[in-house]
Amino acid sequence: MAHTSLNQYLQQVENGIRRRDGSLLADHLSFKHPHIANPRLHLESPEEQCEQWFEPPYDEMVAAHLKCCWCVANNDFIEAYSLQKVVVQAFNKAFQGQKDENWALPVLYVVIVDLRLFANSAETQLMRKGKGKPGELLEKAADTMMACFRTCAADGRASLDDTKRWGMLYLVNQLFKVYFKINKLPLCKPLIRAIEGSSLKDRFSISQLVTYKYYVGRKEMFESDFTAAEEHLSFAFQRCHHSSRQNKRLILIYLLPVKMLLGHMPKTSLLEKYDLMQFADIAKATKTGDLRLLTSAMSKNEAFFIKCGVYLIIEKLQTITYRNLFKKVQLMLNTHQVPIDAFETALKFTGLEDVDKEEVECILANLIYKNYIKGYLSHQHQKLVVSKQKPFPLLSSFLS
Amino acid sequence: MSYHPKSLIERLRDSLERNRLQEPYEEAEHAIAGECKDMCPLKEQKERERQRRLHFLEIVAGTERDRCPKVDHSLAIKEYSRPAAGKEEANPSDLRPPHVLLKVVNHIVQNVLTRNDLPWFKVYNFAFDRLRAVRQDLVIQRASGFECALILEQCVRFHIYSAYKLCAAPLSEFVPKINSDHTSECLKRLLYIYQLQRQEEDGECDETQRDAQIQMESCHVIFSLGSFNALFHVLSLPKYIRFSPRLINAVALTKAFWEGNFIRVKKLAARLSAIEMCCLHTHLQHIRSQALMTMNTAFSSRNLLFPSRVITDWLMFDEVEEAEDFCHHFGLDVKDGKVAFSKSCSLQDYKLPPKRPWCTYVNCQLEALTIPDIIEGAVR
Repeated sequence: MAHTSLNQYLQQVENGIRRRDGSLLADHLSFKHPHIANPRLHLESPEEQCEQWFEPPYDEMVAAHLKCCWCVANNDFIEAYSLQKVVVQAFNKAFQGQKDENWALPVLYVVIVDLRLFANSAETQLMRKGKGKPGELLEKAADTMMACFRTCAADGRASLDDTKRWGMLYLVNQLFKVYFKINKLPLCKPLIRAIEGSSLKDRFSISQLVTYKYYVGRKEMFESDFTAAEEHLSFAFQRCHHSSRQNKRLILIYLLPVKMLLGHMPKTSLLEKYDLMQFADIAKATKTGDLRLLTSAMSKNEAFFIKCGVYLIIEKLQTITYRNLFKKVQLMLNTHQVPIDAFETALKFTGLEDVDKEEVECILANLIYKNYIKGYLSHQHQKLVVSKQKPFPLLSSFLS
Repeated sequence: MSYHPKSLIERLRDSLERNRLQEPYEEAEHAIAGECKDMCPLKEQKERERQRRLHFLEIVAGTERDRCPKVDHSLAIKEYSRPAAGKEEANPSDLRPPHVLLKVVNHIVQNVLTRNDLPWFKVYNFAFDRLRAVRQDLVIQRASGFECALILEQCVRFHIYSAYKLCAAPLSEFVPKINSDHTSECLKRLLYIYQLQRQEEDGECDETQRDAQIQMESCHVIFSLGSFNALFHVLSLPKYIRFSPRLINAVALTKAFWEGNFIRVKKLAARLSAIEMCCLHTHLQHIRSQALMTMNTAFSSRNLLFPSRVITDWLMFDEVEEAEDFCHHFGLDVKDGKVAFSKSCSLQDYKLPPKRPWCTYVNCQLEALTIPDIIEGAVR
């Protein structure tokens, strides 16, 4: 394949279109396929040949693809990106014209993923030249992808076997990748609505659903909807193929903090298996109420947590750490009227040297206010009076 | 083959043309350089004199009562005019280069903001407008040098200080929302300029510049108290800023605010500089109401009462009376210096009470400073 002539290549493409062979055509338009390394296909001006072989808009699609191969071979990703955009637009035109057919979905997938990757590379090249704003180009690429999404979503009349709506989830996942990269999470909302409102919702391929739930879960985590985030990330983790270790690890980076916030601490064996020992001390500190360990574990792995975007979520574990420490104190003293002094001593012991009675009262007040402790404070008597039943309710019983 | 009016070459060229990235405008090349050496272009001076649109602070003393007050060339400052469609492009002779703009700012700080023969809100509105025009000239010229930073720093301090000084003023005199929008706009631009400067100089800058950067970064954190993005921004700063005592304090303040730890907020507030304290003051009523809600639930009891004196201390009120008024505003019973908390009554439905025109915590910081000290950034 790597050394076919131009005519052989064009013949294959023609076969793909004529026989409606989606995967054959997809291969010949994908930058993952070996033909792109074939120097005989790196053409600066393939227009004439393409015009002879294909009708519009296929001629434009194939010509732009070959020119794109030429640009990539010359390491010009800025021009390659523009050309790939022409490929996608020409494809979308042809795709719209294919009534009651969806054989071209595999082609859609390859041209879209290449568009996104070229947009990334083009942006890097632009930045190196000191031009453009970060994210600007990717956002434009997303617009092009949206046009294809509309073609798919609007295909409501075709039968279940032939509808282009099967392509929606793939596009949504690609758009998620862009929106997360450029930090425009609110733009995900209408996409999620489109998928959740679709009758195909649970029937998409499992691999696409795993990606989808991963991004939806991450979005919910950032919006502090932890129960929903746990549900979606757990789905992604459980259904992700066991051989995709790297993906499972990625899912865990977000699932672990969410689980911890809901009071489920990970086992060390799990952290070891996925090379995520950064969470080990965090989990241990939260569980045992060790504030000193929590602070040191956070600053030690600060860079990692910041890079993954979970730093601020992990910050929130502090409240749980307080709760667990205070629960221990209450159990040790075995009374329902715990002197505030006792908590102060415990906090000082675990590393908060500059804490005083006022602040302990304030911390306790917050724990009561946020339902971590059932009871009330008496300022007069300097005591915390806890409820006789479940003074420290299960985290999952009130956290959402 | 179907007839197509255009050849593939043409069509492909057209599609590409549509899709090709527009060359981002070359920053420096298209920027106009100002040539106006006066604080206000002569044309505008004459025009506004003729139209009798000169401000009281721009005329020759003694001509106030004349039919047509005379313009004082050393006092007139270019006023802000909204960019509008169809307006001619900026003329270099109307634009003041950065070093002239810096002189304008110095004039405003030294000679305008120090006027105590006028109510402060009038001084504020005049200075606000003229500083806005200064910023507009900077933007048109795409200035980003050290003068630009110096100017924006003073704009930021001016807006933050004014927010405190006018916090109890009626809406007809002062609109907090507009002022805070301009504060954040100046801050955003300023932090961006710092970033550019750091990239160019590899972090090399003198101590004064460094201190100003630290102060502004810290103001940004406190001004947008509790904002995730502000904190993310801090994490991206070079170590000498991020781990400076001011930033550490500001970040701790944001975290304490998140946790609802109002006692820690109070303790950290004691370490703030005057201008940072003014920033915090804008959030004070909100912090207090959050704290009161927490206390109302946590100290809720049928037979126990909570001393107003403690609330006064904890929530940074000036006096017991103010604290009691605050509790009363939220519908809580206050009697004999004691407040009855009860979690059965929700405080959430109440609006924030109006602010008092002064706050001892801020005033004692500002006391030792003159207005030019504050705006020019004398660090205390």
